[in-house]
Amino acid sequence: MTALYIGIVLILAAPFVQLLRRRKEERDAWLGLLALAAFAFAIYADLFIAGTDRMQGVPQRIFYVHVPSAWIAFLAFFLVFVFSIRYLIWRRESDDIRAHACAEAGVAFCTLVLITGPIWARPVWGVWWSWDARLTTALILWLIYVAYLMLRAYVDEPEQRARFAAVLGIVGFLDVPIVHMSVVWWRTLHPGPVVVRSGGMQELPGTMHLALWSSLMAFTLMFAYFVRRRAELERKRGLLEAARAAREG
Amino acid sequence: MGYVTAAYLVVVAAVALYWWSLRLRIDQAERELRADGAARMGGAEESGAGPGGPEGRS
Repeated sequence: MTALYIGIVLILAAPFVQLLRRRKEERDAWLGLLALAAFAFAIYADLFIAGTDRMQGVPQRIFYVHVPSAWIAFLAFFLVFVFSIRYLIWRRESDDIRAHACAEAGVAFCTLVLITGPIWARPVWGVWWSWDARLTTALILWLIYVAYLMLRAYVDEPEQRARFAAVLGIVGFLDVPIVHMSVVWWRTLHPGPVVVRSGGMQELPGTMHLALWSSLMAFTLMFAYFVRRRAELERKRGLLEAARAAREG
Repeated sequence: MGYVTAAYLVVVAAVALYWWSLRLRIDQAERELRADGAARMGGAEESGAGPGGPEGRS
């Protein structure tokens, strides 16, 4: 099974290395295609290759999109945290642009977590939503980063907007470890860590591992593609804003 | 199976929608940049500072 994972990683990594030699627009287009191919394979693996769970039955397959969405949302908010710190230290516009791009993509993936979670909860728990610690802290996380995007939309002055957003990006990240640890600290309906535990990787069947990691790889590629495109949009808007300011000033 | 289908449809639709919204917004920004560039060129030519004006010729 390990050889199969390594083979898949190498097959996906080879065109990725080739991408580095191309122009930026071409690189983005190829990255998008690669993400799409990985996404198609991941859906196939999730629905047709992975075995059916003995306890939960078919609804357990939602796990393969729910968990990678959550991991990518955490990664996105961690990157917002890092770029926000970098912005406050060096005041480089590129860090602010990257933080903004990661926050928007992170909110998109966090939204997927909050939609796929209840769809999975209904057949397994019998309810769509429960105000337990994991679900509530995840909802608060989503609200924090929606507030981050709203803050950016309402402040006009670019330097002030970047500074305020950086502070919120740093403070908001404090909720990520709380969301992660909520299932350990409090008694919750949500299950505890399933894939990675303090004792190491749990023994999931091979086909379930394949489905999970192919989904994670596809979501990571999609996230990278979305962040690059979103950053490009922000750079274009910045150019436009600067040109208008120069004309008016 | 209905719940799984719903979840996967939501994911595919969300990815497609986000990709589409990014594309629309980038196209819009490019159009505005081009319009702004054209307006500046027009303004510069009117004031004589453009490539065809006196400063451009000198």
